[in-house]
Amino acid sequence: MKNKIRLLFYILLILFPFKSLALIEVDITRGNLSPLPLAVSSLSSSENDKEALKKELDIKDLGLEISKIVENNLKKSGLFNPLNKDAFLQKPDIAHLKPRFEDWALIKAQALITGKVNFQDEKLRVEFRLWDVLAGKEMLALAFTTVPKNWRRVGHIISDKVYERLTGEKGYFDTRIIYVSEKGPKTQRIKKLAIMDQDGFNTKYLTLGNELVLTPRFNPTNQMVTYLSYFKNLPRVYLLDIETGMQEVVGDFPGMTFAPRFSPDGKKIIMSFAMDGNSDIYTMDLENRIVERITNHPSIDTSPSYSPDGKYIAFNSDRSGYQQIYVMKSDGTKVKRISFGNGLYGTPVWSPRGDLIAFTKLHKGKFYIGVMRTNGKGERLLTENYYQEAPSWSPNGRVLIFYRETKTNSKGEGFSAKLWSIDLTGYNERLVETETDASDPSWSSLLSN
Amino acid sequence: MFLSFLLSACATQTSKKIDSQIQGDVYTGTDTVEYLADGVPDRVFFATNESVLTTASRETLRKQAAWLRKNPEVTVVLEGHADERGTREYNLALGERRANAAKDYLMTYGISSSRVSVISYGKERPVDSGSNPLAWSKNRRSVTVKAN
Amino acid sequence: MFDPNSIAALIDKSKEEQAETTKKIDKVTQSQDPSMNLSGLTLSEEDALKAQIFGCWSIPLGLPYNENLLVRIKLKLKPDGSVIKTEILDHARMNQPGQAFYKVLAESALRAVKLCQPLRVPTTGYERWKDLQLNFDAREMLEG
Repeated sequence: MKNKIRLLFYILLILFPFKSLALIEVDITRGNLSPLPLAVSSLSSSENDKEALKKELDIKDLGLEISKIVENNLKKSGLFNPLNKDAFLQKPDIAHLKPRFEDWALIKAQALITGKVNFQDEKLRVEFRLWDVLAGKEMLALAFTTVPKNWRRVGHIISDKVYERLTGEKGYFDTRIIYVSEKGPKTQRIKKLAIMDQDGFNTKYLTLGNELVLTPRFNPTNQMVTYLSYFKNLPRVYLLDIETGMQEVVGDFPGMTFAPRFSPDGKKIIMSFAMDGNSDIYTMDLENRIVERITNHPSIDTSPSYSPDGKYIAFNSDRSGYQQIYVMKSDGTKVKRISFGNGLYGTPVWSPRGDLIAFTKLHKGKFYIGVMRTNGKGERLLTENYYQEAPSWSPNGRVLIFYRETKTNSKGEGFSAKLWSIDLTGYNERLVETETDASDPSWSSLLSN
Repeated sequence: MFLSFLLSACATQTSKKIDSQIQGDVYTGTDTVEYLADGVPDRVFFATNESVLTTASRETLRKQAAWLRKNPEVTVVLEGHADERGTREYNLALGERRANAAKDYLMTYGISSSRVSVISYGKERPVDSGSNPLAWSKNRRSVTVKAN
Repeated sequence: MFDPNSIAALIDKSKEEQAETTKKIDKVTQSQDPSMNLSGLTLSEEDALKAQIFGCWSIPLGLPYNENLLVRIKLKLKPDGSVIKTEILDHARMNQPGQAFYKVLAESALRAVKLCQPLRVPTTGYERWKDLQLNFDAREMLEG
């Protein structure tokens, strides 16, 4: 009897293996790589606030303008597809309180940004919410209070918060670009230092164009800039305080200093010093003014760039006969060549994440912007053109900005220099709009947080 | 037959004209050259990525040295330049190296280093704005300029 | 020159409320008996379901491809393929610091399931597939 029951049990188990049945698993390894569709609703504000803000800033609908900044930033990142506002079914003020998720799902939005703008006690108060349309829940809600003239920055900070929440990495929108503004014929270019918001707004010129200026770079707090100026026809590295406008020559060198950059802690400037036909790399401590020689080699050693931890320096040198990229310890020891591909390699720049070095490569008459790992392996060329160089990283290490010059025609006409950006993936190449021709861009770190 | 002969002759002549202005990657023409004094050319030219002085360059610099010896009150600046086919910072160093190659040669012909200063413009001040090998060869140069 | 006031100080993050993620009790994953693997979906059934979800899943483009980012979601389904319940198997990982990428991927997977339902399930054998596990893995796509 007992045995019979046991047998029946086994038979049942084989026929209906209910609980012990293996759960069916399906592997989803493919999906849609198009940018995430999302809706950026206009930020709502009361008629009174609208009126007061119009008086203050001469902008008719500030909430709408801020939403456009967010849309523009997210769109240009290449990761998001902001949907056309004409299709929105719900009014901004109601959507901000309680979105009707079906309405937003209907227009295929997967995420929704809503917000509200107030003006009280001479302060601009902006709150926003990020919603997961399909899950039907709030993902993020933040509010900011600031002086009204910072309204564009509020748009950038919202963009950064949304980007971070939806991608898992920090954004790069509340940042500035310092660059060289260019005008005039190729043989007599007039160059000025210029600074602008990452999206091309709020351009300010920091020099007048009386002398040639090149290669500006931010310090880690974005308040100082180091650059090369031909003031009085003596090409020297300068230090400029953007807030006060004060500037000074870096060090007391009896010859040209150039290719400056800050150390990651902002305490030193690293640069090249050229003397008697030889360029070597030096540092100067900005506190005690002590100058240290880092390389000592009869070749050209230039374009130094620190690793983010300050322990290593990448630079280019022609000690092998041709311009190549080398890495050494920050005291100048253990110099090791890392670029071994065909062609010339220059302008190494260490990524903020520390795992990659961006560079310019010249091969068979073409210029490339590329990245390689810090040991020189895994070279990837991102873009090819007639002339382009000098990549600079976005603070999150995802985008590179560089400049590109055009080929002139047979009469030597048609020259232009423009800023471009490209993703680390090699996709999403974009012109960065500037008021004038532009070169030598340097990306700031995030201005807030 | 005759016609095609003419055409090919024409073609070789044009390329010969360019060839005759560049030898071994170094500009040998006179288009851009100015004169410090009668018979004293102001500039020398270089091959791509090079700072070696050619025979012609040395001859030019000997003329400059002779002229400087005759005019002891004159001081000069040697302006070193590169073409646009290199990165900006490397080109600054290369221009400096070229100008110093010229300076060293003047010094071996008795010109005191105190009379000769050096400045590099890298690729910043081309004489020819063309994007072709001939224009680049004109731009790879060291120019001796009177400073007083 | 730009605004000398330190703007960071002006911007007052007066209200920083992070969205409450619905808290679910983590269940112990069922152990699997390899001898029972005969009872899966047929190839064509699996292909139909996969094809449907491929179309619904917007892979977060910013994700690093070199990290171990596998999201496993357990579904409870109705016979018509609509979803009664979703459960992320490593749910605890969602709100751990340093797991931002995992969270982003998990959320995208949940959106894909929502967007796709009712799922394209076989017309028969409900008992077989009423509990279903989807393993979302974007590495192949992000590498390419």
